[in-house]
Amino acid sequence: MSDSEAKKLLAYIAKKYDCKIWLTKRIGKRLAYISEMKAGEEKFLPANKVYERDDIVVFSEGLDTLNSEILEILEKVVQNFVDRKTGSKT
Amino acid sequence: MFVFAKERVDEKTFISEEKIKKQLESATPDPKKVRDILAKSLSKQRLEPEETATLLNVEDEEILEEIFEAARKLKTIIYGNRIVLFAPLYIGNECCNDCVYCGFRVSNREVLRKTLTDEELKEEVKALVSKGHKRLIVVYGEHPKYSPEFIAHTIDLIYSTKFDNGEIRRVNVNAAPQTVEGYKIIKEVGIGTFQIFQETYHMPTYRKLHPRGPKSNFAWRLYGLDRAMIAGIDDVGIGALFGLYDWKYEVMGLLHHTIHLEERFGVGPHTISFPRIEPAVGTPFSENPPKPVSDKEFKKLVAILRLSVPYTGLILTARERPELRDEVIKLGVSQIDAGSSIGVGSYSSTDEEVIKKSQFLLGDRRSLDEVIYELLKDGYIPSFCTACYRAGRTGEHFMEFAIPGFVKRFCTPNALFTLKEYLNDYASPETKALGEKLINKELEKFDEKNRKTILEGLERLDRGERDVRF
Repeated sequence: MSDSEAKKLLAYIAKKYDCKIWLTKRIGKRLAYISEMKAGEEKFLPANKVYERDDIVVFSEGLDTLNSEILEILEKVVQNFVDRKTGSKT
Repeated sequence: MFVFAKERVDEKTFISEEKIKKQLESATPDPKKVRDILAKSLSKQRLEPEETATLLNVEDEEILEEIFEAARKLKTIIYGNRIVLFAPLYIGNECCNDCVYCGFRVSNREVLRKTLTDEELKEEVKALVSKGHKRLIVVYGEHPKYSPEFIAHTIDLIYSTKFDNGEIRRVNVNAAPQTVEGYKIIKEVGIGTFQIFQETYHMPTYRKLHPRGPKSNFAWRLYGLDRAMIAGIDDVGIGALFGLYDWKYEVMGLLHHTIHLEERFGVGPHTISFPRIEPAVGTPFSENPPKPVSDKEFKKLVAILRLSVPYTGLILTARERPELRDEVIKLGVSQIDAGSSIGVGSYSSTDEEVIKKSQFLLGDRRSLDEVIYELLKDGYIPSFCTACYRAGRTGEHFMEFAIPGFVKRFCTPNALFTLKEYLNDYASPETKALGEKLINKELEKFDEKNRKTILEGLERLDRGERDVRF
């Protein structure tokens, strides 16, 4: 999956569920924002950790629960970054 | 290109002496113009160089007081009453530069050279954690020993050292400018801010004061943070050492540097530091700097920096005396160091020769608990918060939610959580009593819903949970 496809999926979640969503990478104690991997307008709400796999953590503002659709999309998007690290896909 | 070229380059950089001097010479501090500029700043807009130059040229006492008042107001609007605390940790003082004002310079035979071993570093971290510190700035001389791999290794060691309930949660770095590849290695251990101080933005003075070593290349240092950002480090800090050249020129240099980063990367520096030169062992130059900055000028420069860059953190160091620090904090400072010791290895061992391992001498030698007590007495919330950088809210992403009301509403609860953690684990009985009182007072400022959420967090801390964040 390309970055632009991943961004499109994030934008779909942000629009449909009226939230802001962004991806970070765990580096030591820091969760570093993955450049450009965000969608939705700032809601001025606390950041909630909504999904986590390996060293990729997804944050959201305005998304309280994950339904199966969101979960499926996030799994795909995050898998993309996990694969890059392990080198199992190009 | 300056960003990558390491050889000495004499061509133009984004710092133009001619332009800055012209801006300073042509700015007339007409009261109406000054008030318009203050109004712009109070609407949270970054000032243009001509506007900052106008403020710098104000001499009239009444107008100057209006500048101070505006700076105090802006600080309250954006940052509220929080003050972030950190400690400097010197890893090693070996250096191949020969900066004439610095105690670590290679030609100084009076300084004792020392680099912490892994074991010594762990002891230093434990000593800092046992006092309540959560945030550090690690400092290295410029020396082949302090390679990016070495820097990354020491930071990794700091993060992994636990002591009782405590740990270091954010490590900022003050080290030599690196190559893009070098920064990438350092970035990978999860640093906070990477700081490089230009020392002076006046190139002829810079050349004179940095006669030898890699630091003698003005442009390599000036573009050091460009390379950091290219490497993906989105938190950078700039600074100037005041006393080397005309202080007004240096303020202009800091502003031009900020604008350069904003234009190139879409985000300016996370912090600006403005240390004044202090005496150092075996360094006569430092006892008699060419352009000393008086306390009055210092207050003016801090207030004008606050007004010029509303959203950039301002760092005041323990070089300054406690009474001056108290005054200057009100003018716009957002971070201070406390309980600092700047000799290599001096947190964990009582060393009679500590001064000989130090870069300069400190003006404020109060303990962390004493500083916190004083801040609480003045109504500040001492904060060890590290929430934003642990939620991917840094760099350009930070700017999206950086509006005054939200920063206050979001940051205050996190500051209160870290204060509560300090009170429970490290505070003296007097500080604890004062701190609890302040927390209760702050809680009254929230609506019922938010108060309830914050109270829940505070109760979790009382039950023994740590690192609670909003």
